[in-house]
Amino acid sequence: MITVQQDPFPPLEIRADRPAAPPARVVLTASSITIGDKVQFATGSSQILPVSFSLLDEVARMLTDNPQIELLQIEGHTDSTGTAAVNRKLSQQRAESVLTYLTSKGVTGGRMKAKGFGPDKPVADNTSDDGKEKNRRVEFNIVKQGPKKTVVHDD
Amino acid sequence: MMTKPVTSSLAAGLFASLAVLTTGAGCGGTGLGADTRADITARMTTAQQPLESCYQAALKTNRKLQGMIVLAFVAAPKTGQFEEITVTHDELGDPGVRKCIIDEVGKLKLDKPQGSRVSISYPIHFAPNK
Repeated sequence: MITVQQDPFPPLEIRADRPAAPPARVVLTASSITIGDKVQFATGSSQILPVSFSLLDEVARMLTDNPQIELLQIEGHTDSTGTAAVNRKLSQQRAESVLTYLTSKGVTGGRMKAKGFGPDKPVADNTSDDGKEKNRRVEFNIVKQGPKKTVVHDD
Repeated sequence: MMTKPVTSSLAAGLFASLAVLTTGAGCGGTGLGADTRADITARMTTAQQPLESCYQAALKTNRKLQGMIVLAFVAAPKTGQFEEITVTHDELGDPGVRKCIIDEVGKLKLDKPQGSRVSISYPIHFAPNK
């Protein structure tokens, strides 16, 4: 048997179209960070469901990338089912839970505050299931911000 | 046969594994004949569409996927069937793409099978359209 070295073959070139980029789930506006998905919690609890971790990771990244956001209010809102007092307490605990999560992802705690409004600020009709679903939400509203700063990533 | 220098910078690092032909008696010292080489290239080219499908599917889950994969395989004596396919270099690191490529290349065989095993190292470069 004889082994002979050969010229290498030129690479076979394979091309394909990149799929369109999905729309950003987390968007920075002048007065808020809007999320294209819901922060989900265990029923009746302030425990964030793992399905929402990646969404909150994006919020954390948005805050890290935008140090001009000096104070962000994390707001918890509920629908009108149940008593207002219980809902306010639960929404407060959920907002605090989000704050704690974002802190764990490197966002300085002093840049955020948590507030639970319960059913006090509905954005939809509480008489329909769809409306109630819209009212159960977490919002990220910018309370204070300075001039835009540029962040350079090492990666 | 002379070994030509590799000029492609992209390929330069990859061709430490040169295509190697092991021949039986009677063909010693001639290396891959031009006809066999052309046959191999032509067969690989016929897999272009299926390989694009492999790549396209993977891009849906990882939009940044790109790079070189180098396959080592043999064309079986008499049948020319491409078999014993292994990946010797993989910049994509996507198991799904790897399996898909191996499956597709495994469907190929030489138009003009040789009397002996032909060992082949073949690079495939994947890149998204601009």
